[in-house]
Amino acid sequence: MNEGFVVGVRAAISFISLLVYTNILGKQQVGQLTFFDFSTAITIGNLAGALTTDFDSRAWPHFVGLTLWALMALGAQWVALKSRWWARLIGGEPTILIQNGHILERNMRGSRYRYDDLLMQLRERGVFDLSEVEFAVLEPNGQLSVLKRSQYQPVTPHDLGIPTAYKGLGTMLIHDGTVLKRDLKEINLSEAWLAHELGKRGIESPHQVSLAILSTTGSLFVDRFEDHVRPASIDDEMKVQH
Amino acid sequence: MRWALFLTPLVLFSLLMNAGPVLKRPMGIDDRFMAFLEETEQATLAEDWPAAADAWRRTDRAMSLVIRRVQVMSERDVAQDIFEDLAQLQGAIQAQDRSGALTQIAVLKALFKQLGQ
Repeated sequence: MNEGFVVGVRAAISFISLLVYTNILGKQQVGQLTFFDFSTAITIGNLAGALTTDFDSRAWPHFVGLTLWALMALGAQWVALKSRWWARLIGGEPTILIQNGHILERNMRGSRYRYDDLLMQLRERGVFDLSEVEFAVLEPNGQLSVLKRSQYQPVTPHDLGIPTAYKGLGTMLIHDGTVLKRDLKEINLSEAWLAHELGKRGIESPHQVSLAILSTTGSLFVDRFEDHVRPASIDDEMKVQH
Repeated sequence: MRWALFLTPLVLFSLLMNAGPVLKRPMGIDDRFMAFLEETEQATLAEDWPAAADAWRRTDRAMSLVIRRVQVMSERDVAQDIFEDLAQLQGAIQAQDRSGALTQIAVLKALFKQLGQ
């Protein structure tokens, strides 16, 4: 038995299977995972690892286990979309830790949440003074959502009655020297227009461009591969200081 | 299209991991493990030890060929047990131990059934 070869084949099987299952299971980021999601992910990862290196049993039971866990996780996600009760059961529910400026000690104890944890997460949210907090909610994924008292909230153009222009998402037109023709077509622009715009900037070919993005206001951001930027040296900094 | 892209590798892997019973069947002249083991058994029953030793060599060679094909879907312990039992069978034949050799042949038959199942 050539163990290196067997590990190679089994690793390819578990890697591709994991890629498929994680793709099916969705796009949640690690920071958004609930404890249940996290446990499921670890179990699935363990099964994929066992499929690769556990020669004491056949590959098939591990593959079946991996598939069943992925399917059960998918099923739990699907039921959670339909049933609020189930969603709360597997994902937990938000817990209010500060209400109207008062810390709710009972909820803190129930969540096994320490004052140090609360203060740390408040600092991470830019709150260093507890008296600024109106509400703080511990989310099922462990994040703390904070609502500051209205007098501590930043002023927005809306508060001041200042009109603002629409600012949507820009469209990438060139990526790594390649013109993204489909995106160009979607916004009713042609390659000739792009070539003209690049020409105005002294660029002969899209191959010279690393990134080009058209904003919704019509301005074209172009970054060339050639940066023409002289690296700053320590000597330069010394000259500036003197 | 997306689902086909996902399902195709999973189906292929399932087929590969369950291909043991097919892949351990003879695919040539030199990999007929069970046939050679039967020959070894017949020679042992007849106490024709030179013929038994010759059949054993072919059995051992056949297993080396079969194991290459089924190694991905097999348990390592079963494969190791088969080679251990083949070595014990060789010893029994050399010692002209009829009952010992027949016992090892019976174990080998049972292990070969498990291989890649």
